[in-house]
Amino acid sequence: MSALERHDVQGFVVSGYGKMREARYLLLGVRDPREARRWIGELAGQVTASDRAEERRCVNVAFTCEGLATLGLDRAEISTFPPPFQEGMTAEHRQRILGDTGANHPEYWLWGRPVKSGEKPPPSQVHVLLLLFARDEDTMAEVEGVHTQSLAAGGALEVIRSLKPEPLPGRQSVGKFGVEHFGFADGMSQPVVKGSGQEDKLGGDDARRTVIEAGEFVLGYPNGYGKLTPWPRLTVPGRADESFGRNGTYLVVRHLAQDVAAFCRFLDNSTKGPNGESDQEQAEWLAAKLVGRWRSGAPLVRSHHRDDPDLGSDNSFGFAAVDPYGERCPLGAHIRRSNPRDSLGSDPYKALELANLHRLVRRGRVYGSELKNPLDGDDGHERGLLFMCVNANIERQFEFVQHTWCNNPKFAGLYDEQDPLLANQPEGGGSFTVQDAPIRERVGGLSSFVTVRGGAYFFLPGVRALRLLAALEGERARADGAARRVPKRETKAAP
Amino acid sequence: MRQSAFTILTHVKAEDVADLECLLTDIGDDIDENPHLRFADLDNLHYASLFVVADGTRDPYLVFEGTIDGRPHEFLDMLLERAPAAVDKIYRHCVDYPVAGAQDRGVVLDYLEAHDIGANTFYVAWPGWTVDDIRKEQELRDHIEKFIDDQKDADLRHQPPQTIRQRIADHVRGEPTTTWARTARSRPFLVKNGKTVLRLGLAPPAFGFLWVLKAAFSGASTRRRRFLARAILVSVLGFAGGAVRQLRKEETDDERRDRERAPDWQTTYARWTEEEELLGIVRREDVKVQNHMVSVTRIKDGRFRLLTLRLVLWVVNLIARLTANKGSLGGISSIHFARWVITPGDKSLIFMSNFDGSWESYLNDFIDLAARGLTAVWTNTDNAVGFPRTKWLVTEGARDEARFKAYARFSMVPTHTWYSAYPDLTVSNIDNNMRIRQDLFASLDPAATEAWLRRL
Repeated sequence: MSALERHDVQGFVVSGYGKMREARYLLLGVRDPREARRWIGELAGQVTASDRAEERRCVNVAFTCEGLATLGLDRAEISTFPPPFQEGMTAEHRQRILGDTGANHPEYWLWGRPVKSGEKPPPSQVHVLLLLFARDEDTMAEVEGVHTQSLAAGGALEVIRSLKPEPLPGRQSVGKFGVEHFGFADGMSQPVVKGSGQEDKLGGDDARRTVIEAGEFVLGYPNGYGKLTPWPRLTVPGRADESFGRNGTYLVVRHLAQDVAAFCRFLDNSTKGPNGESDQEQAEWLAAKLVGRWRSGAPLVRSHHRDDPDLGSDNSFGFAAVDPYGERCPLGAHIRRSNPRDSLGSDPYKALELANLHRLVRRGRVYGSELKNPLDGDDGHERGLLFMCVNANIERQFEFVQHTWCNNPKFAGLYDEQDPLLANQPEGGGSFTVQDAPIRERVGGLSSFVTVRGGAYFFLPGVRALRLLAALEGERARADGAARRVPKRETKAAP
Repeated sequence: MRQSAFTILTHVKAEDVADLECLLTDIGDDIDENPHLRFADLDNLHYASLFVVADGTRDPYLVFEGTIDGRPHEFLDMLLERAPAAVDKIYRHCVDYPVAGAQDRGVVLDYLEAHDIGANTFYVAWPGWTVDDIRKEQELRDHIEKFIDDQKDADLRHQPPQTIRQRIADHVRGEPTTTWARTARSRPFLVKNGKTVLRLGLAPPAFGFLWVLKAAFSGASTRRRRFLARAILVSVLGFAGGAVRQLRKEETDDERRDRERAPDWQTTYARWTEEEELLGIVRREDVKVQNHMVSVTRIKDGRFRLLTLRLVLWVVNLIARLTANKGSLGGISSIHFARWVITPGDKSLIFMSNFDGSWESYLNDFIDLAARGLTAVWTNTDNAVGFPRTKWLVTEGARDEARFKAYARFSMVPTHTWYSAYPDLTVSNIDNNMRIRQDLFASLDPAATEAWLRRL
């Protein structure tokens, strides 16, 4: 088995660049393919690879399917990408998978929404995502200036939207982890990529829990099944390249707005005493039950009566042995849904192994200012999470987590409730069951605390593949539809 | 009451395929309210689906698949009584349909029954549980949950477990619509005793074999007997050895053919995903909690593959009847009903399944939990993507995740019409409801009482 080719894998796969306080995510549209390819060629020399130590600045770049087509990949080459990437995040049936219905529907998105037929002017399609990171504000100003200038040179690309996360450590610092807008430490649970060099300090159960085959996050390496996930190829004679996709991967971006006021109001309303007075302690208890961790990050499985900041970064736990029925961490709690660890199925060992076939490397950053007094209502400013995750198989990893775990009303034997933080709740409010002895408690009236504002599936190529992209030739095949081959389907057998 | 499966396969007039697909799509697009056929009006029906398998060259055919309580004869008779126009409208597109005798229920019934090919393998998650049972038990559970929610301020939670259960039981007892729940019901004989039956069935051949072994090598047997026993042994082993050799030969031949496959499977699949075909399938998925899957694959050439397939399907069917009859098939606990059918003429294998959750999670279960069993079935079949390389009938195969998923996706036919009587209940919900009802009035010890309360 080959070690990870770190010089070719983009650095964002193995690092969230925690030392880079500033980040800008530029959503770009290609205006002149030829010039854009020239720009990519220049950029290939500047892109931060996984073997580079974090310096003062980092640059990574990813492409949507439309972007690659515009840059010159032909239909047959595009078809070597997996269906979710080809169809995009907004395909109709993916809306059901991802819960992008109602207020989350792509037609309301700020970016990434598909073109409606006859719409004028059509929204700018996102082709490229340029990820810029810098150690401090001054460096960022410089980096951003240089890049916006070079990408626009010769009319190559245009900035459609610039997303600006809050400088790290985000709202406030709790230990080494940032805090998201609902007020919880976030980012404790991350898989460690085998071969990234980060797994060396882990051993025993922790290693079994968190060290994941490189092929789950980078194309070209054995995945959780010991197989190579198929990767995209260049197939046009003259430039055919079997290993175009090698060392690349997929980057999922979701622009998630958080309604902090609604969340806090819900906690407050649901825990008011008999005389209608707020009960701060009960509200915190309910918040922790929804999340599965206390605000410090301390897991309920470890400390189920009160928050314990000493356990804030604790991630070495399972559910099966300590909490099989969800009486500490509810079955439907956010962290149990988004990573059920060893809890699904009768054999915890096997359950962990299977759950680990659906892991995501999360790279989100918080955006928007802190809402100071949430119980006084919203201040009209948008805030939330620029969720990003890296995975080699969008269907088996990101979409599976979203659909089979988070949004699944039947998760873990439940009947009719979804992820209390993320879900698009039904009219009249969703419910949440707090398992307890001797009998469960059920909370109603959950509203949708998170609204999707944008998103797309990107391909995050290896550095070598960037050079191959830069070397593509010619204008984009104009009559895309006409050039499209429609091969005969193998006919179904008759009886 | 026993659940049964009918699979009515009829040839469609080539010129009528588009019209029939259109009609079935109309029905399927509005399964509850469409003007043609209201499945909900049909008693005893768990699931039904109608789909057309068509290609340009051979005869296209219609499959009408149903899962019911009781026997197909009674169900189809009721269908013809309650929805004669819909049946007529659908089957008019079929070859051999007795248009002249269509007014006569008996004639049409004969026609349908004559084309029912049943199922080679039929899996039932909860044998004995009727549509009515499943729906009523869900109502009971809703009723109890509502009672608990309504007691929020009445300090129910602070009572000891026995008291809580007692109050729930009293409440249900006081409710006239749930009198049926007072009598617990028992599980079917084979669910309770399947293992014993299997053991009893395996005993005679096992003893026979031991007897032959003993006779062949024991000094106590007569020469003649020893000779006979050894001859039996040699022929049995010879036959088994021959079969294994043939299997490996078939598998290495497949491997060679696969290497020569042009274009390679990834290209074939990639081209297919370019077309609208995949979209035609996924547009119906994940609308409800449950989904339906139809897969049609070509049985590989040669009698050996057909025999192997028949044997495997027979064994899986036996397992489904005797041991895999408690909500789980080979570790997969998301299947309500599934069947495999070999089409007349032994050309194709059709797989039809009603399952919980997404296709992706279903296929992951196949690969993670039941790869061997599925490999043993599907390795005997083929399509343009090709089933992944298999060794010894059961190993590798479905474990090749990407290719197996591509093979399965590619083999799918859009289900034009699909009906579920309880589309929002999972296999595990049904199980839980069943157990809530089972023990509601039973006498339970403290530990069992706590366990029962956890079900709520």
